[in-house]
Amino acid sequence: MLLLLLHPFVNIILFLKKHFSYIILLTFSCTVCYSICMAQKTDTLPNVKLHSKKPIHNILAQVPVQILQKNELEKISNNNVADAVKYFSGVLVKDYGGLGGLKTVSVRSLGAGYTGVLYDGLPISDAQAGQVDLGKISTRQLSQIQLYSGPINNLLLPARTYAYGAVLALQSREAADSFTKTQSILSLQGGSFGFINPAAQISFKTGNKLIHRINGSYLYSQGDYPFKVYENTGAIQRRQNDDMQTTRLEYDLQYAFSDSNTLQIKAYYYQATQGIPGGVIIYTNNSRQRLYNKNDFIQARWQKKLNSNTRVLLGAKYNYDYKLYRDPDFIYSSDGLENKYRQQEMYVSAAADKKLSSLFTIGISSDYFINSLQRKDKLTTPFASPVRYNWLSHAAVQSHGKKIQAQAGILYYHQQEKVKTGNAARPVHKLNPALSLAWQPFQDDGLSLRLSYKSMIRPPSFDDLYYTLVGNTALRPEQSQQWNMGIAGKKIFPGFLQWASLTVDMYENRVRDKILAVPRQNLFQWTMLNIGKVHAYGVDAGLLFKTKYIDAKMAQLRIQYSYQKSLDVSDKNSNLYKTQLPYTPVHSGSIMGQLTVHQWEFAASGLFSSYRYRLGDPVPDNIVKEWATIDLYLAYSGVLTKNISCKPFISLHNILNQQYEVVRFYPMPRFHYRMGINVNL
Amino acid sequence: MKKNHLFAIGLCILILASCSKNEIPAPPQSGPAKGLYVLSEGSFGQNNTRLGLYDINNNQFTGNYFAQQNPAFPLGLGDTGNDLLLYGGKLYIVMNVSSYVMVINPVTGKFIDSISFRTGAGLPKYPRNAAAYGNYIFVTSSDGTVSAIDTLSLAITHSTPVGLNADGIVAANDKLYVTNSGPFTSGYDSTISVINPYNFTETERIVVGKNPVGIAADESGNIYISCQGDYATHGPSLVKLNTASLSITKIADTATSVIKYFNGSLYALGGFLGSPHPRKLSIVDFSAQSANFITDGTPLISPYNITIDPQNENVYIADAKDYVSAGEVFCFDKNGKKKFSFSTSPGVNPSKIVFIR
Repeated sequence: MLLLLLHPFVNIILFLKKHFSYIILLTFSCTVCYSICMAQKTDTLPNVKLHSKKPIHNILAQVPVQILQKNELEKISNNNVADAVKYFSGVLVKDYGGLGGLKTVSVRSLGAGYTGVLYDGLPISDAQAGQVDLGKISTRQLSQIQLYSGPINNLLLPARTYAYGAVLALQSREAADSFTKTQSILSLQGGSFGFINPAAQISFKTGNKLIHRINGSYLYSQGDYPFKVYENTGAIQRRQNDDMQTTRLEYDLQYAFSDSNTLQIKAYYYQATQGIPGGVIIYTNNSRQRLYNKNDFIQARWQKKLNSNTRVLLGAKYNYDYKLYRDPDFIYSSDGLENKYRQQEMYVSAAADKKLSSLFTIGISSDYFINSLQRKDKLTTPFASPVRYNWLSHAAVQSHGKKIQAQAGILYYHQQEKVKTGNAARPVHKLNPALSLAWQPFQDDGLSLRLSYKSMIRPPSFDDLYYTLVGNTALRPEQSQQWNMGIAGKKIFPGFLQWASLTVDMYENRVRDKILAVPRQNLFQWTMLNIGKVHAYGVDAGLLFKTKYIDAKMAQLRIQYSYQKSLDVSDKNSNLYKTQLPYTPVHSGSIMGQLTVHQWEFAASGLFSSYRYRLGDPVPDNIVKEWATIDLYLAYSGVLTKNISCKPFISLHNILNQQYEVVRFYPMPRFHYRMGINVNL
Repeated sequence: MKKNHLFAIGLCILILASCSKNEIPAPPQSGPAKGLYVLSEGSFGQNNTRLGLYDINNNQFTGNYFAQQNPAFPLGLGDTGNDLLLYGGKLYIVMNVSSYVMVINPVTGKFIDSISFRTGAGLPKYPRNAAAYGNYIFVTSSDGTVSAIDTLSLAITHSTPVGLNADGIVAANDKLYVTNSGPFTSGYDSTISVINPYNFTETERIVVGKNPVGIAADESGNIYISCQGDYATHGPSLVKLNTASLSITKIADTATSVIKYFNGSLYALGGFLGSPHPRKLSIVDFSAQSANFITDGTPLISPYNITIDPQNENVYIADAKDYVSAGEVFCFDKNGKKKFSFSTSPGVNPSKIVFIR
């Protein structure tokens, strides 16, 4: 049946392939022109509220959507996005421990390169690594995190958004809807292992239409948490070289021409100096690698509702990223290794959607962006200094019937590269269709059945292509397909228990031409090859209970569970054929309960993961043990004066003092705590 | 990549038995092999080096023999075992990333001692390969030194500076020869160092070819050096050097990684972009006596090391397969026909083999 559905696409693909270069130019310029022309028209209709500040958690949507709100974020997380998304089902966070350790997020076994990240509506990316390190994004300034798996049912988004297997949308904390004077939030946190984190936010208005927000934080963590050594002595050692120091500063400007015509500008500054602790090597102990990272960007986003049927969105962004990596003990150099990488991205985006009738909406969007990477170091081998030109265009049609909603979209992905030396990567031009369907069989809308399909590519990253001695410019993009079939039900009750919902989704993902690092001739020389094939399937389930806020009391319980089989099907003759991919637990999940009683807020949360294998062979030698952690949170909301409120809190993490590993030989912190205070002025 | 020096060592023992004053009594190294010690390097950073023992008569492999015999070391040997050397009744295991040398009793598999490899500043030296001469085990290290371990006290008594990333080492003609592969950040080294094992000094440094790694010696005073090239403009080469005149007598541009000398031929594995098959090369002109040593079609995926049993001329090839799952050791007869094979599970990347007789 799916094939039948896809048949018309095949013809289109064949046609488009033939004329691809014209089509990109055409679609891109059309989208841009259309959007700009339309945007310049004067408003003809009364102002309509553009987007509700309060997001609607539409669990009955055609694709699975999971949300963490601000009140949940502050209760569960250790301060960064990677720690927070562990509470979503289907999400696997590879956590190398500590604040400075790398944290990558993959959704449903698709690999971290398939997870897109939107920050206030525009994508953030890292063309060098091909994946965003979510450990370095703080949750302190976020009001919510949403995770979409599959084709997103919103047609007014940058074209890039439709290219990913899963999208994490991060929304920064906005000022209260209608404030009149200056609002400030001051906060200070401290905790175990030399952690201190002051932050401040100030929001103010100039004139009637201009809202400013300045938000900044400083973080220092010694990170030298204790762990039991792996040798048989039972001694306790402290983690070395895990210190981190970051400074983040954000400025947001929001200009509301009218309620339905808003311009948002965001400037972001981030600077970090940290150790890279590395895995524990038994019988030796040496870790002195350092990383200095600077990431700045400025982005503008203009969204306008032209009339009750048409909306346009224009976006632009410039991103600068600098990494200085030092390894004084690098054995292949007489005086250590020092790499400097400078990465830039220039990005423009245009999108529009239009309601054709009460039944149909169409949307188009186009992105054009340029990525470049330069390296400076003592290596004698010349660096390719690649520049990548990307065009992405997306078109989709949506039908929103009373009982059936459907969407069909197609994404055109084009990429071309230039290099200073050596071979450039192959150009990429691919068409990727996506379909989704939801059906509410009953009158009361409380139950929805859904089905979606999406095909995707993951182009090789700069590291895959050009990394010294390892990179391979002959790489093709990875190709993936995902299917999702699910059921979602919600019930709204009249009593104290207000809301109960359950979602169960089954999925199947297939990845072809997966890019893997393979040693060439010995373990010190690797190369990247398109040799992997993955067949993954699983079930994600979520349960949520929420009560009303009655008599100053409120309670909420959220349970997430994931079952995941992720099989290596690369080579029929290999020992590893149909074995579970390394670091993929079959069972994992989270639970979180929270309670508000008058001024007191209490939360308990837990995470668990079944055992995993660190390498392909499913033998006891490779087992990384199952683990579970429990965290507690307690806060009190107090009012100091009429205008000043404060909220002291304490959170206890890993209260069972478990020593566990997410990645073998990267011990995770045992019991630790955080405490702090937020003051609202 | 690195050679097993068994044969050369065997030779040394024979030669030295007559000239050395205070050699250690060693169990007999003759007769048919009863067992094989197989060192599986493991994966970088995984602390999963495994020493396995294969019982030839019962066709049985104990994959984690070291940990089984040494409950005090439940996690085993540590990270990235690079070399295995049997000498004077002791088995030396060179642990590269864990940066030490483990010494065990080859009969019981039990711990005797471990020797830490640290610089004066306490940093790891990353030892690579070992060769025996007289009362010493000479070990190359990536920091550009050759350390001499006294086989009686099991202490490092001397450290001789050579080139950076010193890699292969072989004893021949009363000297030690060390390949200096050099840091890739500065385009690799091209030399070998000659060490006088009596006063522990470097006597010569000879240019042989870009990125020299593998090294082997014959019984007529020649050594063979496998140069990897720089993987870009400088191609690989195979070099023959006469140790009496210290002159190069033959250079060919054939790509090799591991080279082993036995009975008038070189057994070679293909290096970077080299032949996928184990080859047998003429020591006169490096032409291929057989372009594929395996004659019965036995499929090898990633030949990783090659070891010859001089007693019965069996050729053992360690296959690393996909480098992340268990490898396999194949035993071939001298004509390249498979005799038996066994999985090295849980050992990943099997490489060095030592015979127990």
